[in-house]
Amino acid sequence: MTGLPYEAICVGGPLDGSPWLSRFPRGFVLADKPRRMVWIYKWDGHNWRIDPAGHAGDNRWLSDDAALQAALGADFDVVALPQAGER
Amino acid sequence: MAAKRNPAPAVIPVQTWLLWLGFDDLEATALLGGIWADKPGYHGKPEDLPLSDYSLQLAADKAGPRDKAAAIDLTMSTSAMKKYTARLDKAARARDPRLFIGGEPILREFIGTLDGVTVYCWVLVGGKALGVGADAGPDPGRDKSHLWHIHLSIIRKFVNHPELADRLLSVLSGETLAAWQARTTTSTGDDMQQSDKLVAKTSNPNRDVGDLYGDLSNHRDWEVSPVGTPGLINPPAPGSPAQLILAMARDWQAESARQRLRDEAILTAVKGLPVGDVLARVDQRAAQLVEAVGMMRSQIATELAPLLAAAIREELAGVPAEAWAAHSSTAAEAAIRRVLGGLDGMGA
Repeated sequence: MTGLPYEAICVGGPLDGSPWLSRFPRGFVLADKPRRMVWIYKWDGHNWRIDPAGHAGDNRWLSDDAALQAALGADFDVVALPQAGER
Repeated sequence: MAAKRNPAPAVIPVQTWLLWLGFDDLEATALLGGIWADKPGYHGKPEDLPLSDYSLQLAADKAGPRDKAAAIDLTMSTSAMKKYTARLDKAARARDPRLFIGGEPILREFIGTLDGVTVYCWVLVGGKALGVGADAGPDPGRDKSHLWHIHLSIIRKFVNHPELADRLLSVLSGETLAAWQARTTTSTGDDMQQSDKLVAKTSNPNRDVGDLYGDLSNHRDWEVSPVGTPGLINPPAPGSPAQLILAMARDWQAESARQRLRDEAILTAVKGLPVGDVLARVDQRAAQLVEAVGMMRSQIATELAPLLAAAIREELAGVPAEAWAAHSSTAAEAAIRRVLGGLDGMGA
């Protein structure tokens, strides 16, 4: 963590090993809207670590309402998967 | 597809929400990144911000609603980020009319990326205060979160403007300026010419916008000028509803003047007379009127009574004696009803 906004290396999920910047300290929701999938990255004290509570190991199905609530809340950023829509 | 209902209408302007819904339809990878946030800048509400906040320095920002956010974050794939940032950049640099209302920009700035590697920000107005060096231009140094979300700062004065979402979506969708102008000319009026034919059907198929304004102006002149003012163009025709209303007004005015003269004559006549004498004269005149009405009623009764009696006799003439004896009251009533039937609507 380097202060506002918060940047750290991601662990697990599609962003594994990549540095990422979130505007909120708790983490961010990574969403692949075309495939209706979501990954939740949380701060573990050192990294953005994937939440392992997903249904297929780490991912979850995208809920429009949940994504909207996250976007309008102050805990998690909402981030589109950078390569979303690509085959 | 996003939920359609504005989840926080108290702080999220309708147009901002429509912008999000439109962009959600436009871009398959897009998600809403945020609108209102309890923090400085355009995401905040003016009522929560210090006067020194940078989103409250321009006059057009001070003129906006104090209870609404004026920014939106749209997150999307990297390829989409590059595409939409480029469209905004092209429009901003060209001073595209869709981004300006009345000569004023509707955005303070937009931030995104043109290449997926470097954050790109273009300020449309108020750049000098941000160190841009000009009122409009690129403003480097914004944080790297704009590699994955496009931020739009909306000039607060325009957050509720009914065309805001349509204008921005037109630019973002890649619609050409010409297509947008053709689509919106009649609704916005920005580019309307006086020679444009009216779209609505009227009695004159050649009537254009100039004719309409001329007619309105001429009618206005006729309505506010003294009656008979020379030089008025195209006054309402004789017999038109407007002229008939004028004639009625003039009749009423004349009758009102006559009544005023009668009132003044009465007041002159009674002026200086003892009140008791005036009241006695009023009573005397009232009694005369009552007497005249009574005489008229008596005269009417005198003239009608024989006619009524004759009509009833005629009606009863054909009634047999035994029927008359057995049902005298019923027969008489029926006869009277036939006589009066045409008068009171109760005929048998």
